Amino acid sequence: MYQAHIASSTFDCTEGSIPIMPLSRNAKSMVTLPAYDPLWDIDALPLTYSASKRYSFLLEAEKEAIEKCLPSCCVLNSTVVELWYAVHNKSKLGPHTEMGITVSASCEGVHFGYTPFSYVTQDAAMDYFRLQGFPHKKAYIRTLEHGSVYQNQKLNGMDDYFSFLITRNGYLLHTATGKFSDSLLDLDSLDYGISRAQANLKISTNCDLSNTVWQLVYRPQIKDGEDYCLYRDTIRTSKAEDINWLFNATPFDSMAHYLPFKKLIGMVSYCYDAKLPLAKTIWMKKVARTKDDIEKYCMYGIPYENGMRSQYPVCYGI
Amino acid sequence: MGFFIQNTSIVNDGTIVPAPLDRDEKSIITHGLIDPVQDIDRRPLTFVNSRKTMFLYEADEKKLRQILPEPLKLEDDLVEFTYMNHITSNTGPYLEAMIAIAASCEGTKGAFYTNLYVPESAALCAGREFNGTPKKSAHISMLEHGQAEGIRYKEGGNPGRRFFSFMIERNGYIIHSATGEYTSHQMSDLPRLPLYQGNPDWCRLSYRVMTEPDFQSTKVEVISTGSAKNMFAVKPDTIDVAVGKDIHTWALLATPGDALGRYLAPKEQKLVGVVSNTFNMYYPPSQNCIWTKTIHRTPEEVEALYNTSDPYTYTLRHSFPSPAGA
Repeated sequence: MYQAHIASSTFDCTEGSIPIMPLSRNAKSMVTLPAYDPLWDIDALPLTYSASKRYSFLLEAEKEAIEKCLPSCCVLNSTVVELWYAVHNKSKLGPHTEMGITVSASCEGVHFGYTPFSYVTQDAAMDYFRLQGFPHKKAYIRTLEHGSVYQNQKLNGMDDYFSFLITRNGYLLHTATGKFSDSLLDLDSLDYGISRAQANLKISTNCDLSNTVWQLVYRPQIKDGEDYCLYRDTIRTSKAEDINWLFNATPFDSMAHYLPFKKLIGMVSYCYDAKLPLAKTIWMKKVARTKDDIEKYCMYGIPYENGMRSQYPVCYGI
Repeated sequence: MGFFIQNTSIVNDGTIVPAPLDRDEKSIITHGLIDPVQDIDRRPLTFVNSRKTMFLYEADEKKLRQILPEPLKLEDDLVEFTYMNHITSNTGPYLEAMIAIAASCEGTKGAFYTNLYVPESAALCAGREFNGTPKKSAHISMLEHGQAEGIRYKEGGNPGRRFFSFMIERNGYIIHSATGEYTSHQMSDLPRLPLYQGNPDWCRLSYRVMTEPDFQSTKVEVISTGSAKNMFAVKPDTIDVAVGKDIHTWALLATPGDALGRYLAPKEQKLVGVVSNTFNMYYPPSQNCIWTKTIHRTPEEVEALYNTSDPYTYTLRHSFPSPAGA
């Protein structure tokens, strides 16, 4: 028997596109952990996307159900809700796919899309957007468009059929299949108040659980033509009657429980480039806990006893 | 006409914690407000029959000091490269890989975690956002098999754990792989163990970095978790040991996304050995911040930071196989 060892320093960061490690730079350029080998770094800033594709299912839901998903500082603007998938093949956080639900809301006169549920396939994107208050979880997400006739090395026509799915911890959360009909939806419904401005509630707790800070993090509208470019020739639509839909509440993910839909309006898909602007906090509050509070409110688990949410197929990672 | 099916009820055996929005706000510790990635039902965090495999080796002290942030001081040149298989925990089953070195912070000594990898999001967020454990997501594989006595596996019998194979892969690169054979059950067969191993005066140390959404400030904290001795209950009859020569293959690779191969390579291509054991663990519900610093940025500095790279220009680290998620 022998012992083999390979240690590589191939990716010397003294030149090329990889930044030197944060501990060797000005301390002001350190943004996340690990301190010497961060999950994402300054080479992700500004965060841009090229030729990303978004699929927006537009639905109607009960006003009371949507309001329950909003923090107390927000008011609801519309009962139209967007359930979306986004495929980012070129992004400063690396390629990833997202899924989420966004509703139209406002806070003290500022309008935005608020995302109570969101999922992503990759860790850097999850961490970056959780920093901005998105409630990202990691899930298995697939988007598929197909149906073109491939002949003589040329695509004949367009991909007319689609299939989307998201699973997590052994449960299917959502799937939709169907056909693009390109019968124009009411495009006004695209602009149902969910502007590209975003706000999300970030809740961060210190390590001893004595304090929690709630922040409504607002990211302004991306400027059309400057920091946002919609490829109009890529817009495709599908009518509700051309879509099959399954939406499932699970012990781990309660989207379908808290936000069931009354009616599917249709789906629109499009490609775009975007450069995201800096976010800012527009509302905040602090919640303090005494030692008794921590024991009373934060210790729901019983040591060495595991409930049904502690059991699911082991995940082998990305 | 397509079908439109919605199952809105959540199956519940009575153990599911109510959603945060239906509880007292003092019980809400993370976002999302309605459906958080991890919640109070995982506190205090406990593990039953977790399996741990700890590779030990000496590394270049100069390189180790390079990756220790202020104010941490290096206490030893021994590196612990550990895999864990958490079969049953109240955060669910998951695998974990971690690298620790002995360090101290203003008199508090502990195992400082330089890198951690987990496959799933609840453990990743809990570690990064609460404890400052520097977790990334990766594909991790742990395998132990083969009967020590050479007996074929029989129904109901133990499949054995004579040989081992471990691996971490992330973003299309293998970060680490090791294979070998256990040859002993005595930890005393190893020439060295980490200073913190079984020492009640040592704790766990981590370095939390939390940046505000507007990038105007970054708060840095050194966090200590109670003595490891109070956390672990090792099952002595599960200890397996291999000395350095019994580790058949070992590969630790630097990649564009993960630099540990560059800074944490074994010195003189030698390994001390490996120890595996099965244990129960109680993870303290809260930790202590023992050092903190806030980095403030002016609007001009924020502008410069946020525009570090060229928009719409994608480089080596922005391209890797698109993960399907997990």
